[in-house]
Amino acid sequence: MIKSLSLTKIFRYCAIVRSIRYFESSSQSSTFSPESSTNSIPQQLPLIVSRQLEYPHIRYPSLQAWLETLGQKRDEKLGIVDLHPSIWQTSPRLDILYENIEWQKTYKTIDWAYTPPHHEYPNMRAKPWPQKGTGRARHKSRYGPQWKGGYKVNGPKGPTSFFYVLPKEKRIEGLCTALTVKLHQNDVHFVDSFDLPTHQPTYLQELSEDRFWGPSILFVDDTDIMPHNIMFACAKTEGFTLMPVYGLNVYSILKHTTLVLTIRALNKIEKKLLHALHSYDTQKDQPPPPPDEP
Amino acid sequence: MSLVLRNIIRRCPWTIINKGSLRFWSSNGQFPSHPMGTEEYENQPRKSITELPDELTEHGIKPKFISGYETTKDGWEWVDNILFKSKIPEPPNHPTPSGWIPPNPILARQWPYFVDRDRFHSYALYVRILPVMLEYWLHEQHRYYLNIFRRRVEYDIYAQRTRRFSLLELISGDIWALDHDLKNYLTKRVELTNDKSKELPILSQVDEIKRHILIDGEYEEWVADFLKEKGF
Repeated sequence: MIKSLSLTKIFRYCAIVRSIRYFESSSQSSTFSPESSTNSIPQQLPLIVSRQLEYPHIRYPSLQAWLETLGQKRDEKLGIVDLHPSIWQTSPRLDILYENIEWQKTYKTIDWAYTPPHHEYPNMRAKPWPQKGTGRARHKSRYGPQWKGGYKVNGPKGPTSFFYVLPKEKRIEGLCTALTVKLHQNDVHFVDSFDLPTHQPTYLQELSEDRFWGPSILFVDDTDIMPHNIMFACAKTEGFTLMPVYGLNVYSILKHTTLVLTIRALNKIEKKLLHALHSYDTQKDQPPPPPDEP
Repeated sequence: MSLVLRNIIRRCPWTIINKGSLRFWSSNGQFPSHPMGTEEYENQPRKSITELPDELTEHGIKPKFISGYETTKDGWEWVDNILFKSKIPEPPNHPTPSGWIPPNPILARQWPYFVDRDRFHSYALYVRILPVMLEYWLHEQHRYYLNIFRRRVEYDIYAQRTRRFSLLELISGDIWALDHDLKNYLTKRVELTNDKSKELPILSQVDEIKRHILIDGEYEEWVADFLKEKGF
């Protein structure tokens, strides 16, 4: 039942329909046809009005968001999408967000600083001047630590790695927090698929400008095989990035101003996060998870 | 042969030795000493000790199986019962004999705050023993973490043991209202009992970022009763 949105709003944006059917995602590979003017939106609307959620929350009902398209420039809404409050309505944990970002920055870093010790320096036996008589300080070699260009005693030795893995619960909570923050700042948009009518990058750029989608957009689909048109458009546009669900991370979500998800990506993300939030997994005892369905 | 080399070869399967993909320490320290952890080593099919050649076993003695075995497929349910499962079963909608009470969503919606349950459907109530940062001089403060013996924990003189705190997590909504109601409830409970270890006033710390409340003292049972009253 839709409580938050009134019926008038729906009729304003969607055509009146007699039968409502659930959206079956159509993974049609869009052909490279720059002159195709076919409307990719089906006749019957709305496509989605409700969505079944696993592990329903006791206190908070599901959130709702519009379903939009990239198939045409005109901003027509195709339906309503239900969102799970455990992921999209958490109390945002800013400390965990910070930890996630720091982890993503530092776990890849390797400090290559290396100061060779005294046994790797040349010619340590030569005394620069005799012990007594010259009036200068007494020295044993030209490469002592007090000399310019001399060895260091306790300096950095070799590559040091800053690799560590943040605990699973913190990574999950970081993702949930980032998604809530984005949603409640009106920077998340849900789209039926990434099928575009043209491969011209200007189409996508003008579309995003008309709808006030920010300079950088993160497009997320469920698989890493994307339609050709959007691949070409994003490759030629600075700030638009395509990403599969397995690459989703806190740093990218916050770095890009808007986040555009397909319904299939939403389903996959919610399934994975909810299963992780509501199960007890010790990595040592469990076998590896089965491969994801395409 | 040195002891180190001998031990390495003992632990290596013969296939790797024959292939020659063993790498030992060199004077530069550049190569790893043992291929344990590499893909080709870890993904080898493990063989039983009886199949190893005599040179690689201790003193040339090989154990031998004495008894045989037979495979059956009956009784899987007894094995399945013991296996670890990551999926947590859903609890019933009625109170159980152990004292577990399910949450009451109708009652829980009245309040301006909400305390969620953890993934095991229990209250997020924990005991904490927290350390104390002693007042070191500024130039010595880095020593606190280096010197393990000087790390101290808050000590309760009356109870003659370390000071305990009770922690309530997974709070959403108005935390300060929850804090206010909790304190009132606990002071009433303390006044009813004549226990001198429970002191008044009840001190608490509210963390808005981490969404938890820390109460000075061991009040877990009473906080659980408070949560049951509210229907969380």
